[in-house]
Amino acid sequence: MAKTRISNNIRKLRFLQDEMTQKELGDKVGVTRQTIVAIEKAKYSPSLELAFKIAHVFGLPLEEVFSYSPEPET
Amino acid sequence: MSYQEKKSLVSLFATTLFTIGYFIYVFQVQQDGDPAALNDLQLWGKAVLILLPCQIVWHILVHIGFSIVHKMTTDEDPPAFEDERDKLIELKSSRNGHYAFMLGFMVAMAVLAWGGGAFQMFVTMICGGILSSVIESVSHLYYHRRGI
Repeated sequence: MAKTRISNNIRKLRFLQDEMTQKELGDKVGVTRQTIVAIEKAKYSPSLELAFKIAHVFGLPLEEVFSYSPEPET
Repeated sequence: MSYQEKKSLVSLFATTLFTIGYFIYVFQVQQDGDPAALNDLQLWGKAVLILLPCQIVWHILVHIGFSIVHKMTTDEDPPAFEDERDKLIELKSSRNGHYAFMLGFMVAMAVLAWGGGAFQMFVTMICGGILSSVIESVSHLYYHRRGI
């Protein structure tokens, strides 16, 4: 399955938040650790609500956590 | 391998083996009695009606057994809830399973249309059912491993 075009810097943000674990982040936003792993590896695009929740945990606006790379024009 | 992936694999083998074993048992019992009865619709009705509750009980037992063995071997608790990704994977997997069952049903109807008896039609439909559960479990595993 192709990776999504939505990338994120959750790994870096977790590191900056006193090495927050994937499980801790998952507990804070109400998903399992596996889902956080999949989001970090860009294997799953979270719902808008979950994306906002994750951004809220880090106290940042959505676009500083997630970014979208449109398809290159041909 | 995550808990969900292991669960998909266990479910795949348990359901497939149980269904195949059940129908082999039904064929053997029937062939020892009256082989001509394999074309009897009443027999097939009974066989399928008995299969459904047995499959549910078997599924529950396998799930409980798997949870106990998983806890004993890894000391890891199973996820307490299903999140949005799990639900999406569940939906996509069951969609794939339903497509496979629909295909099995159409092939079974084609068997009837080309002059097959009840026996051939039900065997085709059962194969479609087994195939659909295999596809559902494999899809589950695939989406968990490769992403959605």
